[in-house]
Amino acid sequence: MTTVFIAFLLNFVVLFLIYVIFVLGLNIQWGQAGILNFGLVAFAMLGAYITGILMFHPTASSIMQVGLGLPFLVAFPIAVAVTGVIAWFISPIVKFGLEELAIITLAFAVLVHIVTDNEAWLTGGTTGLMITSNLNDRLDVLTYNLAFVGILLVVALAVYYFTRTLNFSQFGRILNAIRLDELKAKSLGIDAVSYRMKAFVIGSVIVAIGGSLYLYFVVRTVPDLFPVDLTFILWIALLLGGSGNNRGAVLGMGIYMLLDMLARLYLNIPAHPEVGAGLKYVVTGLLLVVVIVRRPEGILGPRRSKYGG
Amino acid sequence: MVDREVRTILRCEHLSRSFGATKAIDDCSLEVQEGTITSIIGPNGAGKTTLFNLIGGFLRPDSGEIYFRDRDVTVLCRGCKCHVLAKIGIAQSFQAPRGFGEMTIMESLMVPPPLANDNTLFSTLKLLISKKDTSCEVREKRALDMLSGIGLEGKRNDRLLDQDAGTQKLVELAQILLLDPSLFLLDEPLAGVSRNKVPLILNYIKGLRDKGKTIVMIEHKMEPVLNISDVIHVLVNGKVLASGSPEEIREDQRVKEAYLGVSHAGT
Amino acid sequence: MTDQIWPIVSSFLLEMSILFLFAAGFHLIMRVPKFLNIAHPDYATLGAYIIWTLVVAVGWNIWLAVVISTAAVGAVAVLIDRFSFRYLRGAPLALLLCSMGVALVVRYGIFIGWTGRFRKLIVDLPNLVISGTVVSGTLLLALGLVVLVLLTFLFIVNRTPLGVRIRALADNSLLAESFGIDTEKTLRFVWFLSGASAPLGGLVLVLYRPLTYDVCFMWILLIIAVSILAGEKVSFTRLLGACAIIAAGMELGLFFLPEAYTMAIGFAILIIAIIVRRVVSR
Repeated sequence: MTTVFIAFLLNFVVLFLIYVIFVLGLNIQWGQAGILNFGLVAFAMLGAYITGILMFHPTASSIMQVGLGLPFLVAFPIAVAVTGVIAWFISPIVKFGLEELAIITLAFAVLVHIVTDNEAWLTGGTTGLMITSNLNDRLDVLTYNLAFVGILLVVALAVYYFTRTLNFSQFGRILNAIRLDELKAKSLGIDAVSYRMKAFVIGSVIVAIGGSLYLYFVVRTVPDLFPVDLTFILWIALLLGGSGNNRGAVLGMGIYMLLDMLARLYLNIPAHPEVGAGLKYVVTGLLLVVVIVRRPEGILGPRRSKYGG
Repeated sequence: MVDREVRTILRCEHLSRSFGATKAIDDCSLEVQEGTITSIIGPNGAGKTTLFNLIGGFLRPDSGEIYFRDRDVTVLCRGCKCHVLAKIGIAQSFQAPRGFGEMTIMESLMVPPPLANDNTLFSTLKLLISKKDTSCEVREKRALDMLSGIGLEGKRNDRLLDQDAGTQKLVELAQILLLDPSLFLLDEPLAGVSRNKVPLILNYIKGLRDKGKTIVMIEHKMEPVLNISDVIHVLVNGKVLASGSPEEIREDQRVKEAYLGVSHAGT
Repeated sequence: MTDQIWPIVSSFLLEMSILFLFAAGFHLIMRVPKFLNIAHPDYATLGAYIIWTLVVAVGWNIWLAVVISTAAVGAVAVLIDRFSFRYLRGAPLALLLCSMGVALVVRYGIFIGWTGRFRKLIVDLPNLVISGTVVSGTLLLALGLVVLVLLTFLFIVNRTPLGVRIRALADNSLLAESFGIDTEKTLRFVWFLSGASAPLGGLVLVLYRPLTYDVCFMWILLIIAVSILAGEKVSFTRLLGACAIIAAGMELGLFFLPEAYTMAIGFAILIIAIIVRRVVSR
């Protein structure tokens, strides 16, 4: 096994862990609270870009003109907090019906995309944003990837532990009740709107954490790295593994990443790069259709509870 | 009979609600005394469920006021703030059994608040640090007590969906009781319940009344209604046609006409 | 003066037309099988690619290519329904998610088949000159297609037995079935009509924009917006009106906002439409 191959594998593991964080955030919004958020990728993008802007060192000749040059450990919590505040401002939309919610969140994601594409002074536009990272400068590829596997493992486990605790707590139980029958829950004295708003914000914050770490890892990003369609890859991973189920989320993401890695290794036709890239989405789409038609509850089934059922 | 100071716990004045051209509730006024079992009967389409939905905050009234213990709650009903109404003491059960079917009986009894503040985000964060979930233990005990009270302890790990109507209704009643409300709005508590389970539910309702609770129920099964009600209101075409004790209603000519010969002794 | 106003009006009419050609088929699906078919713009892209292939790669006549493309995409829409949406009748959420999957398959199937290279479709359309003002051939074609689709759909929905069945399904599908209406057969026609109308919008769009695999997708939110504005019943005249409103809004927006942000006006109207619809239905 060459060093390059190991580095490649580690790269995949890092991405897998970041995507797991994304899916766990989605699971809170959709699997536990029943909120249809088609614009999830926007929050990852916000987490990434705000971190990037805070870390950037603007110069006279750079396209981007804002930046505070902060170190990652300072930029990270600020970026996540700011994204949380933005999510909180948007969260009243949970009052709307599911389809309306889907459309509005999709519109939000497109809007974020338009802004990042066009406001180059803020985000670097389509040329992209690049931060200076001490880790990146000093370490070789293998050690760098290894370090990030370590960091991401810690964060992913922490997020997993958090979502798991939430799931089994009274808060999670109430969210589930609201998802199953909102009217009944309200008749029992539960302020459904308030709970769903909180779930929306929590999920968005988790996704922003993933986005921020992603930027720190790849160091250089462009808006196209957060395509709107990415939300649906996360969806299919969640639906495949079992929505509402945290273990299912991880399993689904694992299956997906495995398929992606195999495609990259074995389906790479040099003359036709579009086959590999396009196939990923075609298979995602097919899987989505098949899962919804045949087995909507996924492989592992829905949310688990302490009391059976 | 204990001599109690009789107070009006619920008062509806000139309620109206239309659906398009149909006036479902038409200038309807009625009063409910505390500590009684009041039944609302009437032919199909008279507006009984609509009336409940208006009081419970699931539908907005077009006009009229609703008073709970002399407090004007019309604004809450207009704002469809059912959860606030639940907190001040009005609880409702539904015609078709609703209650989180996919949950087990045990878990569905763990849902109703309030209990300290264990349903906030902050308490969840505390959970992350301390493994022991004390409020959960309290909830469990509460739910188990309730379950043995209605004789369903053995079924606690079974799914609600799989139970018969009688059991589902009982669980729904138990859920509501956990809220400790003063006013129970029960929409057809006996619908779909098998003959042998009916006395069980009726006794439960009577027991609630004896503890000082007020029950308002909609029912079609005439015999139980006439047996256990203290007061009966007859709703026809969105208005109260007649009110009185079971004996008075039984003899009322207008009521007989309105029902067009529905027998008293049937289901 | 006409020199200044005409380009704006022309642009407005073009936007309105494209929006209508996209939205007509989408509106049918939103009101009859009753769900949001997110894949609809991708049907339009597919249609545009078929036209391009037949005209540029194979060398056929443009009009022949258009006719073939409409028939082909109509058939594809029916097939897709048969193998996916059909199993989910009456479950709008599942249908919505499923249509996302379908959209991905169609869009990236196009990507694989035709690669991501930008293509150009050049058609020689004569311009019309009225007292000094030049009406572009593209605009004429667009307006002509709008009239064609509008009249065809209006005729079918209002004057044919099929239309009666369509309206019955739109009002209350359970009731319609109990009256003996063959739901599946009617839905097949609906899907065909929906799919067949899509390439027409794609055609007009790629006459002045480069053809790429996601050229039509960006329009989905505007399409949804006009469909919501058009109200609860199957009404193509109201749909056209809604298209006019949104297109007008976007044209006016150009006075204040840079071009990339005019979509944002469409979104704002979308959100307002949703809020208004909620408030009205209370």
